[in-house]
Amino acid sequence: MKTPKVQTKNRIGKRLRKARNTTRWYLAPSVLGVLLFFVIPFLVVIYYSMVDNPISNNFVFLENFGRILKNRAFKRAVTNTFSFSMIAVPAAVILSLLMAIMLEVKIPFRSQFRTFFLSPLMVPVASIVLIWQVLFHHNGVVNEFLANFGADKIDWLKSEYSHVVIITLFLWKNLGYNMIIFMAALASIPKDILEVARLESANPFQTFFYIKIRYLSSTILFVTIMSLISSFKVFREIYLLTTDYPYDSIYMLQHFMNNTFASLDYQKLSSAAILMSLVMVVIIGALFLVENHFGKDVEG
Amino acid sequence: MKIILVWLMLIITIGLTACGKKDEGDGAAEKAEYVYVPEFKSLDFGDVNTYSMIMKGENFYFPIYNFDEETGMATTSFSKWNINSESMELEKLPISFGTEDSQSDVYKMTMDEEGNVYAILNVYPVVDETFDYEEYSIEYYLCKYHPDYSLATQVNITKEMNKDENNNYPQDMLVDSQGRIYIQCNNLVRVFNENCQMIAEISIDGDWINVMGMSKEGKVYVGEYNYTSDSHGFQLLELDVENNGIGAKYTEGIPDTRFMVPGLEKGALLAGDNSLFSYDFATNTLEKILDWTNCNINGSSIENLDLLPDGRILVVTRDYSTGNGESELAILTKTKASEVDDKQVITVASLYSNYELQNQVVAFNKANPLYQVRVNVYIDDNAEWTDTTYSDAITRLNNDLTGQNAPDIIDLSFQSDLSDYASKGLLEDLTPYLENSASLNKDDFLEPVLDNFTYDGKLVALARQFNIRTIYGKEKFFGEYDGFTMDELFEFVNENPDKPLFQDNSKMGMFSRLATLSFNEFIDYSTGSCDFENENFKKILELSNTQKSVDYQYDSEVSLPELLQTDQVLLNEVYISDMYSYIMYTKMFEEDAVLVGYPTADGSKGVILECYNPYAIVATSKNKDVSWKFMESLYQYTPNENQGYYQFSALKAEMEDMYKEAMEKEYSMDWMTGEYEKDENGELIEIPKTSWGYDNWNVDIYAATQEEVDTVKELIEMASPSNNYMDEKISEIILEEVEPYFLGKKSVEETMDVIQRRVDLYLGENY
Repeated sequence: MKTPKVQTKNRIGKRLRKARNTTRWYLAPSVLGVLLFFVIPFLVVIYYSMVDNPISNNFVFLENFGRILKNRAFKRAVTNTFSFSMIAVPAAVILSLLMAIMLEVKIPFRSQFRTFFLSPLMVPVASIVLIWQVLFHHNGVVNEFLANFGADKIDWLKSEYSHVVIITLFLWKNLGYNMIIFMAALASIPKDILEVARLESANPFQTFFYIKIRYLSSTILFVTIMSLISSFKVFREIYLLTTDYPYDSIYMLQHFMNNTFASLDYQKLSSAAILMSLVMVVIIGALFLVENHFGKDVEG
Repeated sequence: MKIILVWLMLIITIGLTACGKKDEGDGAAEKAEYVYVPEFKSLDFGDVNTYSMIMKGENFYFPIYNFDEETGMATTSFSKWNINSESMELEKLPISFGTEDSQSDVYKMTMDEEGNVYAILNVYPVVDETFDYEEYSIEYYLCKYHPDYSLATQVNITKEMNKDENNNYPQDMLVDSQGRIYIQCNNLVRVFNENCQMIAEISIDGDWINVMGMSKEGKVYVGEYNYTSDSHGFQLLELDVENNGIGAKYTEGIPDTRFMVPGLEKGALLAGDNSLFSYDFATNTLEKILDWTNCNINGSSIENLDLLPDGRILVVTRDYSTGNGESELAILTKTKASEVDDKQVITVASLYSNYELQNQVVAFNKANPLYQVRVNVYIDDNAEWTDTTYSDAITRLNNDLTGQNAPDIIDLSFQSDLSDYASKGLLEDLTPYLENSASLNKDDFLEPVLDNFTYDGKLVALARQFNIRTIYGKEKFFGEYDGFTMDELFEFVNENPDKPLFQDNSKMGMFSRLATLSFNEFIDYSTGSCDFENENFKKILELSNTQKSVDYQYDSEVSLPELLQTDQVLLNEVYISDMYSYIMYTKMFEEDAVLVGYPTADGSKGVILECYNPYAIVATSKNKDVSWKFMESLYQYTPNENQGYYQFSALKAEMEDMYKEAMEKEYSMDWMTGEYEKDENGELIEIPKTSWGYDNWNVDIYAATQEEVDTVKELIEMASPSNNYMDEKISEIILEEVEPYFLGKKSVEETMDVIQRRVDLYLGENY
């Protein structure tokens, strides 16, 4: 009587092994892709961060990290990038959430507003830069407008105001996308819970802070991470607007990396990239902890 | 499974970290199945010009221009030479061009498959004492000669040729299989029938025709740059004689073509400056046959091309860099690569194609059969120029330099400041090579040139030619100054407010000149800091801002020499490249001139030495010894009596010969007797060696004096290397920022602030 059971077990084991082997083959392209485009390049970056330069390739271990931490331009880039992210990311999250809440209410032209806020996503970066140049040029629309009130012309992109311009540009470009994600998340909050809250006489603020925010926590985390990543990518717009050495308040980490690549300082570029990725890991880890804390009692 | 995955990862890792042995370290040549092996023959036939020659199979035909001094008559004869002939004797053929009572020369000739000869003659009257110049006219004749060289037809085509004055100069001619004669002018092709009567006139849109040729199928095409469409490429247009217009157009993937001949079995061979292609018109397919430099041919020197029925390619080249323009025939034979000896390959990286470099490469390859120098050009001549063309090319070059694809030698013409490459150890120190060289020595080079390429005690590059940039003025104004500090210059300008210093009178121009040698005053490279907010920089900006226009505005009505001579302009920025240009610039004032120099921080006279075409050996090269051998060949100097000295040379010996040649007086000679003429005192009469002009002003240049030679020597000695005066990036930032100030959009303080911040970032990154 035992023999058939063993045979069944063996059959199941064989099937499992076969299934695992099949799974491995299906996974292989993805694994290869990740290795090819992420893991191996990152290993190469680690290698370059530990040699004196890409020509002589003498091993210097952590010397490059020490040097870069003392580098004036790097410190400036780090300060600017983080101060930009500290302002732009919360603003992008909060404003887009507010916009999503406003559009959740049944107001006229809802759909048109949604399209309008999404439109910057569809505009190519080169066109965005052109629009921004027209707006913030010395003889641009903004200065002409301000001149009507007797204000002096401002060199928006080469003065302390450049920070404001770049944050505005970032928000203009990203709010629509974040807003759509929040709208989807708001729509997926269970209606019965909201109904119960209403029956229990909860006011809209209580409903928002005690129910909606909790259900939105994972979306907020996602939007925050995406905005954080986008905030690091704002270099592209700044570079097109102001070239490789901009006004110092909008000189970002990617400027530093781009310029050190152009001047063959791969060791500086690689050390900066590793430091940046470490900081990103810490920030994203912290965000996950926060999300876990606030969203742990939410169903699903 | 795990093992397979591990192996896969390992292979990818090795591949991506570029540890693989990608290029053969020993420089073995890349193996194609077939290669073209060249055999060279000199085409030195004395005064015979190869420009108008006809290549027909293994026979070459030359029209030879003769001038009879006794009769004053110019005639043209016709000779033949076979490529298998050991002798350089030409066989004179019984053909007579023109008429007895007129002079003639041959514009262009061609020959059809049956051996009929066709020529366009330029016939003009004999000019003697009785000749009435009002009757002088040039006539065009189209002539056809039988294979036995007797005249078949001769038709005056002057009327047809002169119908369009922009298209009356015959540039090329050919005959198709139907006996139709095509004469190509600027942007027009006239077609004549076998009786030399015009049957069609086909006009081409565009500026000019670059090439006319025939395909194996017997169709005639012209090639031109296509500026009208979006593609901006080279295109081939089929000539449709029946409809008096253009037939099919071929626009995709056509290379720049200078010569087109029928292909062996189909289509045509298209020859450009760098490569030879075959093109099949039926399938629109292009195939590269060879690169000229791999066959030891400078593609830019090609003067004629043909394909023999057995597949051998005949190429006639003329070396324009030699005084006489020597012609040579290369017979290229298709050979199995396995039958050809391996060569050690050396690569030279160059941003742009460079005629002189190609010449040097060809000469080296010919003289060294064991080696093959190849040139890798990063910006192709055919490439469409965009905003990123240059930066993309630099990125590609940098990637190659830091990867496994590094060239052996690099042409650094594009990089005025080598410190970036030198500081990263990218460039090999050439000092030990010079010390061990049998044919070169460090002392052979002028010291300022070596200084130009010395970084941290290492000589990282060498250049053959240089020039001197500085500023000259009249002695009466500037004689008392021994150079200018910025303060002295401000004082001078304030005292002479109504006198422009420079011709262009522009703010940008003035700023560039004032700042050229004084920027370093504001930068401390040792600490990576700068101070562009100090008073001196403010003064430079303010003084530049006193000029009339922002950018250069050229007043064509008054020439620079006239402005200088009449004191309307006080200073002249000069680019001295040889003894004669120095003499011209100093004579331009028509008064005593003195060196003023660029203003400098310490008040010394600023003189800049700019080197051309520097070459360096890449430190990671695996063929350093052979690379040095090639470098050595670039700096060899053999005195040549026929050679002119058109550029200051880094080699002391060549400079000494330049001085010697410039000081040799020339005297008036009676050409009839061959004796020198003398004046009333019995002295030889000195005549100008040459004449130089600037705008509408001309000056006769006599032999240089010892004083002039000494002054030039002094200038070279006192010159600062060009890499010392400005970092390219800093210069770019500053020039970008000063423009809004000059345009009145920004205050001087705002401008200084932005410059300070941006330059500080740049310096901070690098130090």
